This record gives sequence, C-alpha cells and structure tokens, in this order.
Amino acid sequence: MSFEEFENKSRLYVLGALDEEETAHFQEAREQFGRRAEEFIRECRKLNSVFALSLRPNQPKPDTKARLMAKIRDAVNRGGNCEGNHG
Amino acid sequence: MTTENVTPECTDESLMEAIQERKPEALETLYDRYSGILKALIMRIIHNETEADDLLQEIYMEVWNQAHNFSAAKGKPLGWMVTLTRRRSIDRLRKRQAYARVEERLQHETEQQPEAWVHNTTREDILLSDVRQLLYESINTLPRAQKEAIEFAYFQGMSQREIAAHTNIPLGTIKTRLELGLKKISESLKGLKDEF
Repeated sequence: MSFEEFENKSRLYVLGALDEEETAHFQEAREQFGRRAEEFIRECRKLNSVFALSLRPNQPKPDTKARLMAKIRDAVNRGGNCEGNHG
Repeated sequence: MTTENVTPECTDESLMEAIQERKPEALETLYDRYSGILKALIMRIIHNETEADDLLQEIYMEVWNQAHNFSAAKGKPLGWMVTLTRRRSIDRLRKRQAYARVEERLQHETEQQPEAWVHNTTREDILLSDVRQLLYESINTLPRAQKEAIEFAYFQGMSQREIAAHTNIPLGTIKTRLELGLKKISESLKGLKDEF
C-alpha cells in the first residue's frame, strides 16, 4: 500500500467505514509507516468533529441539564461514578 | 487547575482536568458549551427528540465517569466527546433495528430538501462561525453522490460494504465516492488551526 492509499484508508478508518478485512490490511500498513502514519491518523480524527460542527446546534430541554447535574452531585456525595450509563 | 476556579472562560482542556478532579461545575460548563452541538449530532442519527435528550444525559455521565481515560496528548476534548456521542448514537440506532425506518425518513428529507447533508443548517447560523462557514462550503461543493456516501458512513455508521449492499451500488463505486469526498473535505480544512 502506498502512503497515498494509506491516507485514503485512514479517513475511512476514523469514521469506522472499513470492514474487517480492510481494517487488517490497514493495520499492517499502519505499522509499516510508523510515526508518519500515527500523525496522519491523528489529523484525520478531526473529521469526526467536522461533521458534527456542520450541524446547527439543537439545545436540549432545560430539565435535561438539571437531571444530569443532580446525578453528578449525588455521585460526588457518594464518592463514586454515576450509575446507569454505558460506562 | 486544582487551585483555580472553574469559569466560562476556561479552556476545554482545563475543564477536563477539573472533571478528573471531580468538580461538577466543570462538567456543567462543558455541558453549556457543547450540549447543543452534541444533541444536534444525536438527533441527526436517531431522529427522536425525547430519546436524544436522554442519550445526551447518558453521554455526559459517561464523560464524567470516563474522564480519567481522556488524554490531551491524543486529541482535543471536543473530538473525544463527538466520537463518544457518535458511537453511542449509532449503538442506539442499531439496537432499535431501525435502519428501514430511518432510510425512509432520510429519503423523504432528501426529496424535500436537495441539500440534505446540512439540511438543519441555515445561512444565518453558519455565518456565526468562520469554521462553520468553511465546513458548509466544503461539504456543499461535493457532488451529491459523494455527500450521500459520507452520510451513510458517518451518520449511520455503515461500512463501505454495507453502504454498497444498502444502496445496490457497486462496492468499487462506493469506495471511490467516499475516498474522493473525504479527501476534498480534509484538504479544505488544512488552513484551519488545531481547533478540534
């Protein structure tokens, strides 16, 4: 894989658009290109933010923040993490 | 950060440090700063207002719980949160097994508004930010077929193969559309500072 091909695959990789076999080939090339590859991938990760920023902000309902902060403060008082999420 | 107060002027990195130190007001500031953007992303993926607010709350709880895993050396806090939000939203979409319904809705939206990629962005909103202006221009100069391929990949979390199967378009064509589209967008962003 040339570095130009690697660049194209990197953009797809950060979006999760490569399938399993392509990901395996990509990872081989990533090792081969080393630091140069890591720097390029880090640059590509900006794409994730770019698409989100292209959307008009959509404000949540005010009670969403109130519920969130109540849970966070409860977690702080208990000295632990919030419960009931994916984490 | 330990001795500093959390203020609306704090950088994202400082806020993440304060969250790592378990300061709720830091999460609150981060919420005020980005909840609108993150909810817009969730909405674009799952298309349900009530569910979007619930998921947004879960994501901020995860930011709180997982803050110790964030490393400024690996990227910006906004990028980290957007990645988390996109992943959780796509997980939710898949759990609902709603591909068919979403597809119908997207198709309807596309028919209603040809510029569906940024259909919830108005010129007025865009002008609020130079960055958003640049993004708007770069995305909207893409050929429609490239935009649609990127839309399936980004907003529905589909692989190239899944997009090809879903749209009944040859895999090679989908690969070309995605690669060209993403390359053009990346190149248009080169002038931007390291903002996200």
